[in-house]
Amino acid sequence: MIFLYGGREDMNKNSNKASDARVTLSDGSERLLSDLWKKQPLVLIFLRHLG
Amino acid sequence: MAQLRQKKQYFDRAGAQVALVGMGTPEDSAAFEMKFDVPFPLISDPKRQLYQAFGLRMVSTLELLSPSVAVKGILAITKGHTVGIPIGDVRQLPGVFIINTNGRIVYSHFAGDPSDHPDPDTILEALKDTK
Repeated sequence: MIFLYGGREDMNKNSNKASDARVTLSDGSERLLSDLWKKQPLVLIFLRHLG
Repeated sequence: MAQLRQKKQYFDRAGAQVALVGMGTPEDSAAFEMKFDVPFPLISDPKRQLYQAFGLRMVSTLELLSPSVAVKGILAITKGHTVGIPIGDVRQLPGVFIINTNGRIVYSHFAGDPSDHPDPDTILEALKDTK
């Protein structure tokens, strides 16, 4: 389950603030997406599919 | 995936965190990680909520079956890319974003078709602009 925070309309434009989300990782743990960019830039790669 | 894995040390040197998003369940994602020796965190998004939030669109079935996409697929196979049974909606287009430490999107790539991926060097080059 992913819970989104903030306005999603801003997410697809450069220089706009990325909305935060609570995400689930492959080990089942949950964390805020923003935890991944707090200390270093985040390269977020959306895969077309797994497999 | 192989290209990304090979460039991990360059992303590390650039001081970047790389994370992947896939449409599988955590179990699907864990299996994918193991199969492809994925060295990055993998976010499970089976309902495509994050894909939608970032504005990544889906192609129509007609676009998916277009000759140009088929040719690119065949070329990918000839380059050694493997084709397995896909988990997730194959109509979903991929994308890449760089988010800086202020939480701002400083680079975005919206795939124009299913085979449209920026190569890792392009992403690494874009990372230089985040500093």
